[in-house]
Amino acid sequence: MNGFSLWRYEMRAAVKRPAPLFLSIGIPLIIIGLVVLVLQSVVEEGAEPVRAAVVDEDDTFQTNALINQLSEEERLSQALDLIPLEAEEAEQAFEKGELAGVMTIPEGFTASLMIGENDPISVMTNEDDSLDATMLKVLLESGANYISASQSAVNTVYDLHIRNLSEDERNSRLQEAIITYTLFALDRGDLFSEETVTTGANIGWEKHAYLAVLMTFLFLFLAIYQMLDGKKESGSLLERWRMVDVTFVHWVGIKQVKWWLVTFGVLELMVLALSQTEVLTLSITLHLGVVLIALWATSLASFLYALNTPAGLRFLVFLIISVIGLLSAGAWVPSLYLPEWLSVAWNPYGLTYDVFRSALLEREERGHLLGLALWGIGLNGLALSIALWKEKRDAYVSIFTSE
Amino acid sequence: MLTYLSLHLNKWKKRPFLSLLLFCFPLLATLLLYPVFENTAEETAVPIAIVDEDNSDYSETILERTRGAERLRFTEMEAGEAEDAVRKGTMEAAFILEDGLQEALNDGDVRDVVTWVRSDEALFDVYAKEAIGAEVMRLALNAKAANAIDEDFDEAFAYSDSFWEPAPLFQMDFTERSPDNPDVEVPKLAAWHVMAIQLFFLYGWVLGIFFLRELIADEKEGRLQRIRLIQQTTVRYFASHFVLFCLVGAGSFLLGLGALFYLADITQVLVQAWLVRSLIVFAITLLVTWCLFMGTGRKRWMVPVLVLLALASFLLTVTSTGITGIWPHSWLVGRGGLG
Repeated sequence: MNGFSLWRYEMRAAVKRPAPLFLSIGIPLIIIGLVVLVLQSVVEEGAEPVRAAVVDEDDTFQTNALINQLSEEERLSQALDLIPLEAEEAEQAFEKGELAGVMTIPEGFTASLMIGENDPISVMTNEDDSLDATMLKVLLESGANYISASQSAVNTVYDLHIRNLSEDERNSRLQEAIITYTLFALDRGDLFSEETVTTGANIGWEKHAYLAVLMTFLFLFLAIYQMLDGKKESGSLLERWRMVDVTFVHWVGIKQVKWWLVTFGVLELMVLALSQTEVLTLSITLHLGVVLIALWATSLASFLYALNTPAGLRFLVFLIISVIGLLSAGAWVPSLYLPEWLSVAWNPYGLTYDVFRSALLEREERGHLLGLALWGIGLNGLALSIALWKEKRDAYVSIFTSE
Repeated sequence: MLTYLSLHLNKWKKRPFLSLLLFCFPLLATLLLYPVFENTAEETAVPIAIVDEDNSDYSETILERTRGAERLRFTEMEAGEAEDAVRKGTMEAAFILEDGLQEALNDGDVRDVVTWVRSDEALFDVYAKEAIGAEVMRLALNAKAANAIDEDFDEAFAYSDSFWEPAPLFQMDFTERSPDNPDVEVPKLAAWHVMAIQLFFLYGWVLGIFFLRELIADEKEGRLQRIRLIQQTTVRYFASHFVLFCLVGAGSFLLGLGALFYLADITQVLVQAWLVRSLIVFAITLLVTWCLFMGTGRKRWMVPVLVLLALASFLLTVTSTGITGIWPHSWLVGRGGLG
């Protein structure tokens, strides 16, 4: 009965002072919205080919072939727009920020290549355009290995065969060798026969993005909400509650129920919104999963509350735990790419990910629900035990005699 | 003055452990999270299955050379196992070095010597394709050159391969430059280091803002009135608060910054540049914050408003949206007026 009075008091406070709830929803939405906007512009920018200039100060048959190697290969040409420019023009365009990089082939480069020396080609990348600069680096490095292979073959044929021919024949045979091996290297796409298999296990990048947003929102929301709603009441108020046998144990229990209810409601709204966009399909398993996710996540918050941690510190601790949890669960970078030691089977964040993943794949998997329930009940029990121990230590309750 | 300093720290003295924890939070978080993030970033890679159906010298060479590829985690498997792994989503793609690969390369026929099994959702396996393709092409061109001359095949093949040692013939020397000053290479921090510094800055700033509540509490509980009555002046009271306000905010920020520079082993030049810039920006930010709070009459609502301003400064700078030039975070990273 006393617990019910406290419940009414808490819910009345939530209705009369709705700011914590709105702020807890609004702030994460703004943060995630801004991050999504940035990522979207990055993806759009990534779809455009990278613009880079090439300054050929050597201007020989080999350097022209080399530029062709880089700019005419099918995959590279889709991603890289290599523009031949004079040194001054390239410098001006770079200073205007129009280029992701400038590749300069120095004078005497061909001669050094023919005698097997490694005079590197200098590539200046734009540090203000790091995405395009990285793409340019990857693309050029990829082409560089093929050019090394063809040039090794040219040098071998020249050193062991062409060098011994008459001068007239030497030049024509050298040109012939360069063309032959350059074209051969350009045919590298023929090496592979491609087979595409349909995978039912991967949720795909688009759905992963939805999942990342949903999980980040959930834990950011809860981190803020439990901080704003979980401030300790003043001493006199607590004393008055104690007079009607409402102790810290009741507070922990009621906060847990209230946070669970609010989190469940917010999460259900998110899931319903996603189901409207046909990203996921609603099912009993999903709803049960949402109930248990809200249970374990709020149990973690109430466990920190039971430790009597101040609101600000509780926010920081909850945030740090969640950052590590979400990272290891593969909520941001899919776990496929993460090191194995980071994936732990009993990680509740991982189990949470599995619930949403199953829903996105329209699978009725219920194995992870038990783990979530155990985490929820365990943390909840721990929180109540700590609160009981604390009240008992302060002699406010006796576990044998109190009502 | 000491009395005033002690008064402002009264709340902190009551709960010293908590206060110390909040003050040292950037330091503790860095010590805790840095190894996790560093190891994760280093070991994050695309898992690729590789199948050797040829069991030849060439296929073994390809397996050996691709093993050390950057950001790719190759696992040797049987063909059926590899295809299953791609289907199940535990591998991004599988590359099968087909039976007869060595013979085909020696004959100069490179068509379809490798089967590339990829899932319909695969994205990063093209990098594995490039890595394997480069190794196959190296062998193929060595063999083609050896076939083109009247020398012993193995000797000519080894001669062609020797051009790859100690480094490949074609090399590129990458340098990062700013369009504003392309002639000089300026050392710079990694993007995620800058992000961490911006977070420390936000934390130190917000911690300072919460310290402003001490003034509200003193006024509410009548301590300020008593000081005014007895001392006839509140200058020293406010001056000592400002000193502590700066020490709390900047101290917490500098602890995090120091831990990051130590763990990331940042060069002396960068440390000095960032320290000087950070301290100037932090000093200006704290002065403006304190003046805003005092200028608006030390109102209670000013604390959340200032926290929101700090949050806006961080978010709008990090995402490069909004009027970035006016935010302290953009001055910190050199994009704003102080840049």
